[in-house]
Amino acid sequence: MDQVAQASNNTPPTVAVSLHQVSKWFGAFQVLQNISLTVRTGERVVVAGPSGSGKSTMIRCINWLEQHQSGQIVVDGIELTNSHKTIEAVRKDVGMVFQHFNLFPHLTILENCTLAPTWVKKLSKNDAEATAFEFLEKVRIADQANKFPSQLSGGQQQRVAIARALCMRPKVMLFDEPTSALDPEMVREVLDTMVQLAQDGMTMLCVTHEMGFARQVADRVIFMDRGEIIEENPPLEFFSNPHHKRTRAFLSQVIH
Amino acid sequence: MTDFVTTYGGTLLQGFLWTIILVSVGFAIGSVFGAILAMMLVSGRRGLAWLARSYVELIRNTPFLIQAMLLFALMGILRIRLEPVLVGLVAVAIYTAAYMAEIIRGGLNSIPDGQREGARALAIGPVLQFRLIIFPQLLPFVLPASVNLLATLCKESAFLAGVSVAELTFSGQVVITQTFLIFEVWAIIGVLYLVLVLSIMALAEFLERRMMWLNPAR
Ligand SMILES: Nc1ncnc2c1ncn2[C@@H]1O[C@H](COP(=O)(O)OP(=O)(O)O)[C@@H](O)[C@H]1O
Ligand SMILES: [Mg+2]
Repeated sequence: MDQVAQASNNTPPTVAVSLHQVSKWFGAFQVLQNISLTVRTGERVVVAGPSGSGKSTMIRCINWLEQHQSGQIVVDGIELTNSHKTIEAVRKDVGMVFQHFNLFPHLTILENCTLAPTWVKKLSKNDAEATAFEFLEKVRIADQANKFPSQLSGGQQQRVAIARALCMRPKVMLFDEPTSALDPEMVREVLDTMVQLAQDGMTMLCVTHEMGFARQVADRVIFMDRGEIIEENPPLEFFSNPHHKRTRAFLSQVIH
Repeated sequence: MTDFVTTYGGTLLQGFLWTIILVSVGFAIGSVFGAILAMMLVSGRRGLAWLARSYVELIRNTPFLIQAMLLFALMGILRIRLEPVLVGLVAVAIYTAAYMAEIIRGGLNSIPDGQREGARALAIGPVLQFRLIIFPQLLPFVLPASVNLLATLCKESAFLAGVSVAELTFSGQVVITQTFLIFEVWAIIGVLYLVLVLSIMALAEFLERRMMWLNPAR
């Protein structure tokens, strides 16, 4: 934990995201308790833990969808404060994929992907569309570019959501249970896309119960319980030798 | 028959035009206040929301005629001299604002939080969020409902005859006192209301087909 604290103090460029002693309360309920975590550039970190343990809240603090009340969060060298400029700068650097996709239903797949690049990054329409097609091809859905989200399956929609986030050319990608809302037969196509993204070197922080994915791509697995990180290890160690009894209880539930 | 048209047609036509003006201008002004009320309702500020909610419930749960009569009485008490049509117009605006507030609030609530979150995560600020994400999704919800409201207003505005606003129904009463053609005049008035409401419905259908054009994100 001391190492983590040091890393966030002078934020070397190899640190993509660091949380230092972050706490947050919803009313009287403390949802995050002194969370410290460093994600280095190019690293893939998987966050696991029981429902309600604060996983979503933690990663949503990283792009200010939730506000932490104490501690420090630094993203790509920028410390998150309540200033429009800072928040915008961080959000441009951080892509997020949600459980329920959150695609814009009134826009086509292509328009979903070009909206923020044209309006926020002020890319020309041509450039934005070229970028969009680059990433839509990467997630293998470019042939659906002119359809609306409702015309696509859940797995396809989630791949579009990944492409949409990538179109902003983020430095870090956050995933909040991206396969939890999907029918089982569609989980694979989304995980494959995420594995490919990891192989391309993207920095990723993924909340997921897909332990196979964690084994395959994670550099580290973090286990959260009741607002605390209670275990943090490389996947081999995490799965073969879980230290905490709550980790063991959790693993016995998710791995069959 | 030609005698009737040349003698009284003008009176009826004038009433018809006043109804259109009353309703359309009152509706436009009321819609603006309705939007403000809707923002108060969803503001999350207790006091503001309570104020807006009280207004909306007061207007939605009392008859339009009573509201209009109260408004005229109030003008008398306050010694404000306004043309009856203007007071009628204010009455229409007051009524519209309450219903429009509910329509817009319903529309805003129907858009899942995930839409705003998706936009925020893409660094889209609040103003662009409204313009590109919220407004275009509000339209298909608000447009049909406000057209229905407009049609209702056309019909409810007939009550303004009860407070001497020279709109269509009032002009009918005037013509009847002069001709005693009770059935004929009310039949003509009825047809004129029918034409008005059906035209509004036709316009709405046209707009709905063009809704795609109204998408500012394009
Ligand atoms: N907006 C909120 N207001 C109040 N409590 C919340 C809110 N969001 C989450 N919580 C609570 O915080 C806890 C952690 O939630 P969350 O971060 O979503 O957990 P996880 O993603 O691990 O399932 C839960 O007990 C949840 O009920
Ligand atoms: Mg969650």
